[in-house]
Amino acid sequence: MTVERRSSFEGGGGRRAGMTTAERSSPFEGGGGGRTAWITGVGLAVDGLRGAADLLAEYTRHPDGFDPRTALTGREMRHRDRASRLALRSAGAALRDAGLLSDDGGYHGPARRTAVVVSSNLGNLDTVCSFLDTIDQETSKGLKATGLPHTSSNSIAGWVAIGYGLTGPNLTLCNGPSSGLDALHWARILLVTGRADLVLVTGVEPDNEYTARLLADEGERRWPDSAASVVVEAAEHADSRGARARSVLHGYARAADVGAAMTAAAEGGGPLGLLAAEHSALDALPGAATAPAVTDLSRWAGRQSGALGVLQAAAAVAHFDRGADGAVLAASCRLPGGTAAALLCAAPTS
Amino acid sequence: MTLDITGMGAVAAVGSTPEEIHQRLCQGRLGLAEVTAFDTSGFRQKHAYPITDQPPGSDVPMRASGFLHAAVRQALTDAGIADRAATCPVLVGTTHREQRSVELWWRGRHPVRFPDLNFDAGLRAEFGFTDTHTFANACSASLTMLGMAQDLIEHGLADTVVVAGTDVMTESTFGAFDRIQNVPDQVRPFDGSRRGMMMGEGAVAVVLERPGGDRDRARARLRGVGVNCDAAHATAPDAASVEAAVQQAHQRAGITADEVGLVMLHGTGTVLNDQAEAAVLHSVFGRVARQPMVTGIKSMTGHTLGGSGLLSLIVAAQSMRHGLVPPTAGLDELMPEAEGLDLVYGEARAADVALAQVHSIGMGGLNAIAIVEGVTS
Amino acid sequence: MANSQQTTADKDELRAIVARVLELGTEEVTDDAGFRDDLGVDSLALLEIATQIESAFGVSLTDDDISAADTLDEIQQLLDKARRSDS
Repeated sequence: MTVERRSSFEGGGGRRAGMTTAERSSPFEGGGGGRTAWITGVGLAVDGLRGAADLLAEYTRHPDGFDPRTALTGREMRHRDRASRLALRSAGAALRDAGLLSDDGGYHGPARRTAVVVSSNLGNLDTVCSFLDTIDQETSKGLKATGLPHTSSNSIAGWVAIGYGLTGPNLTLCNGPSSGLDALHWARILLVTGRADLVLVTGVEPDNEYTARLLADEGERRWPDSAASVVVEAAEHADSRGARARSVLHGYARAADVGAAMTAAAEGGGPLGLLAAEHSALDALPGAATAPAVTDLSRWAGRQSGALGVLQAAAAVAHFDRGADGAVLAASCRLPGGTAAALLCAAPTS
Repeated sequence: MTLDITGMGAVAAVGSTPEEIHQRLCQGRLGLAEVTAFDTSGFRQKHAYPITDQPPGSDVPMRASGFLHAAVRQALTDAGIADRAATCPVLVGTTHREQRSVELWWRGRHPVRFPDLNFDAGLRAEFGFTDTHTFANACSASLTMLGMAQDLIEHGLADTVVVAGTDVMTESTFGAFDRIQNVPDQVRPFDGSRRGMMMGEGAVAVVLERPGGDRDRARARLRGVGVNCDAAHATAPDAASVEAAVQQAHQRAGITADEVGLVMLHGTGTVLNDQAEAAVLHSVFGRVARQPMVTGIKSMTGHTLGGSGLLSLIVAAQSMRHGLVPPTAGLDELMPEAEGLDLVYGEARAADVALAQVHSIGMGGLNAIAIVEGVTS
Repeated sequence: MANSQQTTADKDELRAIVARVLELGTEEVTDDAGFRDDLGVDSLALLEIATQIESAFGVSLTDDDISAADTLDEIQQLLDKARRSDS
C-alpha cells in the first residue's frame, strides 16, 4: 500500500490559544481543539448496493449487490438481531477498507483508544413488538433468553464492540432524522476531547414487518435493510500508520431549520460540489456561483432513518474517491417540531 | 477541569425532588409497589418500583418525556438559568427512550408519531432547546452523558450543558427479566440471597457549568468521569474492565483511592453485577487506610435504568451536603464477597464526606464512573 | 423401547435442541464439543437450552446443574439425574 501523507489543510488548523467565548464562532471551524478528523475507511451493507459508489446513482438492487437474505448468516451472527447483523457487516467492511483488520479478520488498531458510535432509530423495534406478542400468546416463559440484550437499543453498539474487541467509549444515538449526522459530530468530539484516536461510526436501520408498519402509519415507504459505517480517525494517528484521508470532517451545525444548519456547517468550507440532502434544501442554500449536484438518499433510505447521515458521509467519500471537485454538504430532513443537522465533508487534499 | 453542578432535579418512585428523595432514602422508604400500568398475568413478577401517576390499568404514552421535562425544569430553576437555557446543549441518557409509547402503539392503544420516539421535539416545545441529543446507553447512559458534557465544557465547545436521564418500564424488558430471573421480591444489593434486578421509573437532570461566575451556587462539583466498554459479553459485566473505568475516573479527577469517602454502588442486586462490583471495590480500595462507605440506592428506587447513575450522583451530592448517607435497604445477610467493605445498612449514617465515587455498569459492557466533590450549604 | 435406543433418541433430541438454540447444524453439536470453547455458548444461551429441555422432557433442572454442564454428554447426564429425582 502506498503511503500517502496528507498535510494539514483547510479546516485542519489548531485552536487559537486564549480564545474567549465571545470570539469563538462555530466550535468546529478550523478543526477545533487542534485535532483534525479524517474519514479513513467506509463500508456498506445496504440491500442491493455493491459499495459507496452506488450511493451516487439512483438506488437499484444490483444482482451482485449486498443480499441480506444470504449475507446475515454465519456463526459469528448468532443471537444478534437483524440490525446488529447489518451493522457488523458494514463495520467489518469499513475497518477492512481503513486497513485496520489483520488477515484473520481481527482488529489490529489500538482497542482502548477506539470508540464505537451507532445511530439507529428503529433498530430494536422488532424485539420490542415481537416480545409483546410472545408474552400475550405464551407468557414470559415463551421469550427467548438470548433476546434480552435487544430490549435495549444499545445492543447494536455492544455487538460491534464485542465483534472487534473495541473497548473505548461506546455510544448509541437515537436522535431522529439528524441522528446519523449527530453520530459523526460525536465521533469528532471524542477525538477532539482525547477520549479516542479512532471512532467506528455506524448508522443502521433494518427492514422488517414492524418497521414497515410504523413507517406505513407515518405515510412513509418501507426502507431497505441499510447499514453504513465510516472510520473517523485523528489525522496524526492516521498519518502515523500511513493511512490516507478519504474526506475531512469540516463543519457541523444543528439548528431549527435546514437552511440555518447548512449555512453554519458550510462556513469556510469552500465551493460545494455535492449536496446530499432533499432537493428542497437547495433553495435554502446561500447563493452560489454554480449550484452543486444533489443526491437525495432519503428518497430510498428514509427521511427518518438513523442510517441516513452516515450514508451521506459514505456518499461524500465516494464523491472524493472518484476525484470530483468541491466539498460535500449533507443535511438531514426536518420533521415537524424537530431540528435539522448539517455536516460539511471536505476534500482529502487542500 | 472541575466543573460546577449548579442545578439538580429528579423524580422517582420515592419522591419528586432531590431533597425529598434523599430524605426518604435516609428513612429507608421503599418505592416497591404492585405494577398496575399493565396486565401482569403473563408474568411471574407482579412488582416493581413504578411511579404511580395513572389509574390502574390505564397507561399513557410519553411518560418518559413527561418525567424528563419535570426533572429538567427543576434543574433549570435550581440553577437560575431558566430564561437563558435554550442555547445550551442537552444530553439525555436513556435505556428505553419512548419504547413504552411504541408498545402502546403496537397494542393498538395509542398512535405514535416519529417525532415522539426521541426527546428532541418535546424538549424544544417545552424549553426551546435546539441542540438536544438522545443517547440510548443502557444503565450507564446518564453518567456517560455527564462525562461527555464535561468534555464539551473543558474543550471550549460549550459553557453550560444540561445532562439528564429518563426511563419508564416497558413490558418487553419486564418480560425479558421475568424470563431469566426467579421473581426477586425486592432489589437486595450485596445480600447473600439476592435474586436479581427490578425496574424503577424516574428522571433526573443536572446543569453543568464552568466554575466561578458571580453566583456561588454549586450543589456539587464534578471532578471526572471514566468511560469504557468491556467488549466481552452482551449482559454480564467484566470486573477488570469496570476497574479500568474506575482508574480512568481517578486519573481524570486527579485523585488517589484513599481520597474517596463514599461509593454509590450500581448495586442492581443481580448475582453477577454485585459479585463483579465487590471484586472491583476490593481491588481498588484494598490498600487504603480507611475503607470508603458503600451504599446502594436501587434497593429503594429500583433500577431506574438510563438515569440511575445520575440519580445516585444527586443522592451523593445531597448526602455530602447534609452529612447523612442513606442505607442499602433489603440487606439482611451480607454476601461473602462483601466481607471487609464498609456497607451502610440498617439505618442511615451521619458522616462528613468530601468526595464520592458513583458507579454505573451498563448492560452490554458500558461503564461510566463519576467522581464528585461535595459542597456543604 | 430398549434402554440404549431410548438413550440414543434422547441424545438426538437434546442435540436438536442445542443446535436449534445455537443456530448450528446438528453435525456441529458433537457429543463432547465444549459449549463455551467450541460452540460459543454463553449464559443466556445455556438458560434458553435448559428451558427447552425442561419443556421437552418434563423435568426441572437447577441453575447450578445447568451452569456446570459443558458438553452434550454432560447435558444427557443431567437429564438422567433429573428424571431419577423426579420419579
